[in-house]
Amino acid sequence: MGLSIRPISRKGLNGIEIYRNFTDASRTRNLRQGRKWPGKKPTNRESSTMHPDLAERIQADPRFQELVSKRSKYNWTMAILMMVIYYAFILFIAFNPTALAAKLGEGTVISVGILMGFLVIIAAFVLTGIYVRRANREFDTLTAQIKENAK
Amino acid sequence: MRMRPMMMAAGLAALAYAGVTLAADGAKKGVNMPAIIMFILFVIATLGITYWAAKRTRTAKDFYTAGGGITGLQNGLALAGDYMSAASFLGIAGLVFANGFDGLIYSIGFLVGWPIMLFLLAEKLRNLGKYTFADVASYRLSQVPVRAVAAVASLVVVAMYLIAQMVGAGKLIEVLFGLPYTYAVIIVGVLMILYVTFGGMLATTWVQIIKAILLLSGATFMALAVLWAFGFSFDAMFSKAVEISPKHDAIMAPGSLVKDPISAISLGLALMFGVAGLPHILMRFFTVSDAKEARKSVLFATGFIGYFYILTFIIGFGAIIMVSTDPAYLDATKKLIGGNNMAAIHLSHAIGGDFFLGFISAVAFATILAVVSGLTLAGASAVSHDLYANVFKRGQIDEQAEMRFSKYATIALGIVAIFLGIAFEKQNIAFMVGLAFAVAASANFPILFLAIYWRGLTTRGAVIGGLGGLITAVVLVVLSKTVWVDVLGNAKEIVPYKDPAIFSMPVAFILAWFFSITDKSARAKAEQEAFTAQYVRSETGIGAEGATQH
Repeated sequence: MGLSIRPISRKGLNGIEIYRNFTDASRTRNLRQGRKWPGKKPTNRESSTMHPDLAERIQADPRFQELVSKRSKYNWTMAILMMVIYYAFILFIAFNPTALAAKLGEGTVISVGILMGFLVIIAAFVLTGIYVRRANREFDTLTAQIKENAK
Repeated sequence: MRMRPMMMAAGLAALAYAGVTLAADGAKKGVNMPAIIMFILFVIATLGITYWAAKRTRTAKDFYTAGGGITGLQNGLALAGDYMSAASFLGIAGLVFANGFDGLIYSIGFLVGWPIMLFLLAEKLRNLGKYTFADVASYRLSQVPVRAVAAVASLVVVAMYLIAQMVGAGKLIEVLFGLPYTYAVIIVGVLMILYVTFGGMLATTWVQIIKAILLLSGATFMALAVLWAFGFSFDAMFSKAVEISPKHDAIMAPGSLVKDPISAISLGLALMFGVAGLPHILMRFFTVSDAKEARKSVLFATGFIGYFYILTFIIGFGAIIMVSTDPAYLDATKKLIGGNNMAAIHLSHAIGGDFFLGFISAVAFATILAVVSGLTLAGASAVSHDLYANVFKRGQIDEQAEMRFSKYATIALGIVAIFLGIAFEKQNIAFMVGLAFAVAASANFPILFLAIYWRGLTTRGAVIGGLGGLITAVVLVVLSKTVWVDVLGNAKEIVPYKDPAIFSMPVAFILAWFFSITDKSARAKAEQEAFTAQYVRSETGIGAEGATQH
């Protein structure tokens, strides 16, 4: 684990001496995953930081910047869209309930409110679907390239 | 562990004992045999799974996250299972039965938190976390104080949720199976201890998956039966309901549930952001192998939960038509036997007789068991991983010892849950789930969100913000009508709003912001510098926890 240098030193967080009681199971698993045994298995804390130089290097990668700016814009757009849809529904209920009580048409008892409610449920699912589709295609490809580059 | 078969045997003995007493006074209360048989089948199957899972649960990682190898579809079902509690099944169907449209407002609120969770948190959470959400919140901050606050807030949420589930379980089982309240609570407690202690996250996940499939199939069958009676015409179904309901056309429009805009917005905030702060939900994101599976699991969960809420809406209307006019389901005062929350249960009888009633009753019981197991595991993880291993032992503990401790914590929590369930039997617990969501949205969510997104957050800000949100939410709920008047019996509430989130969420964010920007310590500077490494990992998953291969 060459990445596990912590930038902040905290007392008592060193990984040494923590893994005294290796079981056979964890030994085999470590070997299978190519870790040296007993070696230094990451502690609860240790896997949690990346070498600052590596982090800086990845952050400077133009593909990383592309990924982050595209994805965060997209994430926030989708989140705000969901909130707008939901709050439009809630504020309608709070301020203009009679509009929601109106019938969809002649000869039906179904109200505008019920249709809107169902549409909000469907919108929640459709938005997650659209997001997952784009993330699976575009964002994962970019991430894979960044990872490859960081090796 | 030699105690394993012994404990299993003890659990089965408790069940058998309950069965005997049940048979003894069954004659009086009218015991539902199909329900009992189906429930026992469920218990045997899930104990079998627990036995299988126990052999595969060897490390702390296995115990907390099922080894991290759960697929997106499985986790989606399990998330949906965690979320579709008996309270939301029977409660929302009952709300629709009584108020029509208003029931839809609640279910939509419960659903819309999921897309928000996906867009803002799910993948980053997976990339940064290990076992609990406190891992993420304390990633670059000082372990001891941040974990302590996160664990306390988690335990408050888990306790509120658990009390609501245990009391609901006891009452429901009393009505459905004719079993005394105390026995019902003990059976639920003992079974959940068995699942979680021996099978860890793997058993809990599979119990959740099975229950989700049973619940979705049962609800689908009921909704189809209702629609079939009206030739699959929604219009015909709604027309009949409007004709029969004493409220007539009012059931198609917003009623009294949402009184003023502030309450409406506040409830919406708690529901929307509360999901992203529920420890038992957040924990599930560490059971999948990577960010992609985490993302897929939210898609599946949103689909299943949305579908389920549409079903409960149809079921509620079905109950208006098939149950509300049938004297068999009404008491002397023309009210539904067992209250409005029994609407779905009575409808199952109207549709499929004793057999289908038995099936739905058994599913409701299974639902409670699965949800309390998930909650207990989340609570036990907060105790063992956060409080014991990282706060008390300062991280100086090997994983085997930590796992052993988490099993003790599970047993202790299970016993506490049984006592709380018994203690709160006669209390009005309607506010509990609302409070759980409010605390989740006001303490857990703000710390988690700021830790991931804001470089400026420091330990001081996170601790004061988290505690501020937690205390504000609890105090406002205590002073509102739901506790101050309905539980404590005072004449007039002090705070006019039932839902605190519109106040407590800003309190958390503002405190966290203020005490971070004024924190000029060397530690604060180091924590802000460490953000870059965290940011890169949260975006790319480089260095993230992987799955173990079994």
